[in-house]
Amino acid sequence: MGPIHILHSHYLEVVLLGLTKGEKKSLVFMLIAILGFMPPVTIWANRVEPFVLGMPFLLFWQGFMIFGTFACMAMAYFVTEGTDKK
Amino acid sequence: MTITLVIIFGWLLATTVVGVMAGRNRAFSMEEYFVAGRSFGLVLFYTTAAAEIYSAFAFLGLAGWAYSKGISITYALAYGSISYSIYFFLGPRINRLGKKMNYVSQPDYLEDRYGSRWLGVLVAVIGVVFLIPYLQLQIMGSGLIVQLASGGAISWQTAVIISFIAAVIFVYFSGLRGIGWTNFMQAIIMLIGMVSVGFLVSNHYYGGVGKMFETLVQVKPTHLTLPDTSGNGLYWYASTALLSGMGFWMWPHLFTATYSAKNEHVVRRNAVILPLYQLAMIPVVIVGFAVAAKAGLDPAFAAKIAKPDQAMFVALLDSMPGWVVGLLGAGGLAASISTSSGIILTAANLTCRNILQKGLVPDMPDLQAAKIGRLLVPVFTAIALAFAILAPSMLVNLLITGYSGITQFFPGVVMGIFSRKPTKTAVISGILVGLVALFTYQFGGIKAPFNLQPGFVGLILNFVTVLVVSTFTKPVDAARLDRFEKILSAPAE
Repeated sequence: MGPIHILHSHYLEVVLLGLTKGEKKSLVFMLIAILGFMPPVTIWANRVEPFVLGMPFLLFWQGFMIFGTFACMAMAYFVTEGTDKK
Repeated sequence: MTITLVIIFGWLLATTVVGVMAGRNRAFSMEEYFVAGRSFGLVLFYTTAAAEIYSAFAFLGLAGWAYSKGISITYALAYGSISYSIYFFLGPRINRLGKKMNYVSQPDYLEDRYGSRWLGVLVAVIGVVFLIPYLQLQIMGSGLIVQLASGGAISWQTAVIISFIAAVIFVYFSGLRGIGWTNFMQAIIMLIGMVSVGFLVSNHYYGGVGKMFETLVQVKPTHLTLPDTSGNGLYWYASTALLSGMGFWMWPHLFTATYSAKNEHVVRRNAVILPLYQLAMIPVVIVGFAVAAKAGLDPAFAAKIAKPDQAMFVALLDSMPGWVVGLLGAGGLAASISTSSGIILTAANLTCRNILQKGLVPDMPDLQAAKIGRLLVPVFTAIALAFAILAPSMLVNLLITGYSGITQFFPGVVMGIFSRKPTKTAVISGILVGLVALFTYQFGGIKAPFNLQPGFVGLILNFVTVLVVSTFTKPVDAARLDRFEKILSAPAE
């Protein structure tokens, strides 16, 4: 048995105790929120120019992604509620 | 007494009165004292979280780091998004378990989930060991804020003794309910302070944020991209943000706060709006940059800043009238007292509930344990105060590793909710392996690969250990697993 096989047989089949259908759909919003702050996105955002709202680009990008996280989580909320209420 | 001090101490008095009033006419019990009877609604939970999130670091450390090292401080903006988006899935479940099983502390959950009293004791002990230096840091931060805001008229030792007598009074009488209500006030003044300060200082020196950054690009070009002046690069930033994001809700006082919410909907809605709090950090970071630009052009100004932590208040005293400094000083004091009060209560909670009642004296009634917990409130405060005043540098090493250490609870907590497989031996081994790796990298003189955070490497090893050890150790008994699965898979009420 290789390590991937063990991982699969021991975890994946019994994993996700009660993540609801809506929550499973919403996982993608969590990923977007996190990846916005991770390479390779930050490799692209790691620059001074252009200045936006007076801020160097890297700082602006992070402020933008904070709003982005809020938007993602709001979407996640509506998707979760909408799917699970049915 | 100057206007600055009148404002700071007036505010302190007001919060103490509110804190004590909040707990009046409430029957004393373990649930009431440590989790405010699980009663906090959307707003009170939101402001309580704000007050716990922003500590003295938000007023001293953020600006100081931006001033001395540069933009790597913005990992603090990133980790919030990571931690709140994970919390969206994790938080409601923790709240639900707390409600169904009457948990009042973080180890309550872990010991019940894995059926191991000693896991509970271990987690409680590690929690207290890392909370005390954190509390000491808050105490020293609050003292420094008052000393700087008063222009040196009040020594930091005097300031902390006055401030922490106030904190002990309302925590002792009102428990988490007192903390919740004072946090509501603290959050407001703190946020006003954080947001206004960024614009005030940049406008005063440069006539605007944009002009300030144009100057900074000339004076300190390495401050604005990664790797910045300190050499912290993109991978340092990413791993630190991930580590802090996963560790955030593992802090025992924040974990316990989740139990205090009225229901899981309050928790989930908060996961949506909590990211917005991170915005308040941007102006403070901007102040740090403004001070860096000013110091680069004006050596006489730079000489006034003996340590980076003083950057923000040196600039404020230089540029603002007394009442503005007073309001910001009150905001800074609010930030550190509100965080400290939660830590004090939680250290007492862990000790009386998990080390004493569940670990050493199993037949102790809840009420008696809670009374002992209340007595521990002044005791822990006194210990941290003593360290702060008599041996300020003694616990520094523990502080550096605090966040990384606490994060080692993450695999046990999360896998306990989402998987049936992990065993108690695996979780205990994982925590120990993670801590050993952390300390080896931090103090053993070995560099972690890719300049990753040592705690992040520890966390990966911790996960691997839990996965591997679970395959050959005794599983958690089926009845217990079924009990958890039944609660977790039921539809929300």
